[in-house]
Amino acid sequence: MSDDFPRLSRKERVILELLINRGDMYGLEMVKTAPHDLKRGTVYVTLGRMADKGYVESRQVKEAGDPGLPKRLFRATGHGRRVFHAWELARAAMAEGMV
Amino acid sequence: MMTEDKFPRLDQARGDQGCRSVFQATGHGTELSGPGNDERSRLMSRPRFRWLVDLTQAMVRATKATTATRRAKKASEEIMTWSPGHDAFLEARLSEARTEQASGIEEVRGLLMTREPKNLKIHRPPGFKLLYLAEFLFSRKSFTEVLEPTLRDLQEEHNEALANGRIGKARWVKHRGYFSFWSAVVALAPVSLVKRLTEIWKVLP
Repeated sequence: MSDDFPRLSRKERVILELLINRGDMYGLEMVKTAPHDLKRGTVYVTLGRMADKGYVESRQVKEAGDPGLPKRLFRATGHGRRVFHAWELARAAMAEGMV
Repeated sequence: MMTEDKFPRLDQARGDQGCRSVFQATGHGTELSGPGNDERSRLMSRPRFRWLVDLTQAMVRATKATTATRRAKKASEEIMTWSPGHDAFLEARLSEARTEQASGIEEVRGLLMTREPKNLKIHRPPGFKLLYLAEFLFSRKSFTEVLEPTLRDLQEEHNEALANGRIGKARWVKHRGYFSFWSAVVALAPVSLVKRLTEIWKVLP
């Protein structure tokens, strides 16, 4: 039973919270929004693992007139939203139970 | 006798025997060498030597005319050189040259004040070689989802710092971006290495 329940680390929870509350975001945008929880070197690794789990999805955005590399825009999937809400409910239940 | 003593140098220098013979023939050699106009008119009254006087006068007039022409030409050249119009032209050209020189100095001063780096040249963006290295070493998925966005953020922040003229921040951003890239590589390497070894193991007979 515990194996079927989706796991969510603290960084993944922060990322899902940002994507659900603020909408689609870039990786660097997330780092600048939550500089204490997310780092530049690991945010994309975390996002990649979340994409493997199906929590987020991404697409490349190539802006007109921008000669650089394409940017990657992330958004939370429906599965990711459900997992986040489940974790929020579980945390609230845990807090009520402890009280 | 007095006449011969008075003109020996003239005879020796020019070898003009004809001249001496003229003076001796007239008998007025001493007076002729002086400024006496009376003797000249007396000589002119004699039709025998009229041609000689005319020739001398013509030569004198020609010499005077040549000298006068030469002086006039020199004076005219001086006038042309230092005429007020020419002087104004020179002054205008000098002023124009000073203006051009001043503007050139201002341009050079402006360039120096911009504090451009001495080794000003076109650089490739930071992480240019790392991009090819990551594309070669890692899978397509790891490259496009993790490493390429990391280098993209590095270049974006670096360019932003350079656009704001913050050279020090750009340098700091570059080193921080390299650290982020290698952090991602370290985080990805075990999984990618195992996957790559597995693929190689499957391919081997």
